[in-house]
Amino acid sequence: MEKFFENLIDKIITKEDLVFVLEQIEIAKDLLFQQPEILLSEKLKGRVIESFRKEIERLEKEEYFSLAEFSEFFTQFKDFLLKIPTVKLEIAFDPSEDFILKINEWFKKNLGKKVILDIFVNPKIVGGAKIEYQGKWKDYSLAKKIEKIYE
Amino acid sequence: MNEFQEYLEKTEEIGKITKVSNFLLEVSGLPTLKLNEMVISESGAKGIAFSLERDIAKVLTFGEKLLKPGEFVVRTGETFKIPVSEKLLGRILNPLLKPIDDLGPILGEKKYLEVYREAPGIIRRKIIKRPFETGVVIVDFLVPIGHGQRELVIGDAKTGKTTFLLQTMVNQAKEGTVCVYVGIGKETSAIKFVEEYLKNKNVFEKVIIIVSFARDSPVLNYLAPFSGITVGEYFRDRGHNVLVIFDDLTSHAKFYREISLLAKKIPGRSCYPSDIFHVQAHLLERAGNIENEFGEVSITALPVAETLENDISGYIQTNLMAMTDGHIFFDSDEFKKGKRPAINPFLSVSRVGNQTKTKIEREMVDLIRKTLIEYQKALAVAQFGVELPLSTKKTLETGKKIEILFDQDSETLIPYSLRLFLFGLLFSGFFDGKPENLVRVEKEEIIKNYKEGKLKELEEIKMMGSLKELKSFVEIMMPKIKKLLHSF
Repeated sequence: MEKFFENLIDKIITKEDLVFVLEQIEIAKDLLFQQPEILLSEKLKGRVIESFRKEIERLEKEEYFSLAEFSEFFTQFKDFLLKIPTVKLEIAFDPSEDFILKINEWFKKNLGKKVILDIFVNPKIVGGAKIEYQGKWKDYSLAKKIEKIYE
Repeated sequence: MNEFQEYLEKTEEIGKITKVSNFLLEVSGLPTLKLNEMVISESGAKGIAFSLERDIAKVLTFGEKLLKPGEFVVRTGETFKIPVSEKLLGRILNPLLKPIDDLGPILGEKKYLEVYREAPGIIRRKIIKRPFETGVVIVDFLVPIGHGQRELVIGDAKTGKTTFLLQTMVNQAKEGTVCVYVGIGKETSAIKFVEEYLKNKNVFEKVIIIVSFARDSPVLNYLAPFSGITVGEYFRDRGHNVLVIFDDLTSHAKFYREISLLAKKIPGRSCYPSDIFHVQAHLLERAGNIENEFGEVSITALPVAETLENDISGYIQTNLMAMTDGHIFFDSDEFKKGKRPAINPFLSVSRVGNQTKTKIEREMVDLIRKTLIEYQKALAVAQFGVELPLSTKKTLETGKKIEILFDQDSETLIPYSLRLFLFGLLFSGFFDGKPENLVRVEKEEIIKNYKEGKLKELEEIKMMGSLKELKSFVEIMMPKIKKLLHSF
């Protein structure tokens, strides 16, 4: 599945990005069987982001997908996206785009696979982060360290 | 910090409820969750890990709080615990040990004990050699029980099983044993009856009733016997002898089956899961006679199994027979004939009880057994209606009188000395030639006199070593008995 939307998948970094892409898929699915004589990529013009539309266009040209095949493809693609593991991250500040990219790269390098970041801002942790991944939970917050000093 | 947060920091594992179906939760996450481990939800609801699959765990809940998919849960690293204390005596509780008798909360210090604990190992166990008197003559003679034994009480519904168990509880409570009665899938009226019986006998303060009603969640019903044995272990470890009654384990197996089927465990024979034997054997293995700093202490377990139409070959029934040290069979046919208690001595067995008996008792039992076998044979001959020889008539008469002496109502408890004395009278010819009704009346009168303290001499029987000594004692006592009966 990754080979079809490689560029698109790479751009999905946070949970918000994921939700956005899932919405795009829903729009495409809704339009799929309306006016079947018009190509799907044409129908999607101005309704979805350009990178997503172009990928659909490529599939129409290279893979000769029928409408039914497109429908099945969208379902499988949605399942694929929902199965990408999520890393929940609780940090003390609102992160910049650069920061999010860095974090994403770090996880990709260290876990060896694509993850979705679910970032939650909580100033009470002062600094550091609380991380949750596949049932494991770690508290690397500064608040915890300070608490330990006073214990 | 709340409990959820505390455990989260301790175990560093978190999961999410993905499905709620009645009392069963499906939880994702918690990668190293163990079987039977307790989990806690954000709202504070507790659960027990029941089965572990590749990506999800199935967790049993007690229905205390409404849980929803999406709610987080954490591991605790501990198996399920219940709060135990001496203050539980004289109370009626649910399997989580919360009082349900309207007498207020259990106050004072409590010890939290794990519900699933390991049974004592072979080194700690001691041979069973102390008799466990039930006060019911037929059992104490023919199916004797020892302290630490596991004896199955099996029979159809309404054949007097509970009455026998109550008599045993009363007799043992009077001897200082802590009694735990576990009612599984019971009705309120049944528990009320147990409570009133024990209160009337003034032993309620020595008894703990743990009950799960038929209307309760199957999880509570499944947990009830484990809570009961845990409470038993608490008192045993404080130097008490304990009696735990599981009334009944066939209902328990049905509740376990219900949970297992819902959890999609593969059903086996009669749709019971394949680990039903393990679950109940693990429970009963926790009973036994052990030695600790207080000396020899025991948990005697009397599990109950219900049969249908006297069929003792059912799956759960035979399982329970295999994991206990014998069984007392309540025969509905005997019950219909008017025999009370309706115990069939030929289909009952005690595998370790005999080793607790004194020499004099063993001799007496041999004599009774021999006579009863001859009586059964004579009965078979007598049904043809032929003219019987004198010896057969004599056997029939003695057999019938043994049955009369075994007959016992729910209010009467017969101690060691008295039962040996009554049978001593029978085998010394005291009841010879007397009609059955008179024997019945005279027996009642002797018991009454004993209770009133007019037969204190009978305590000497405890010192006797042989049947010969007993017979001479009975000969000496006969004039006094005759006099007592005459005055009546």
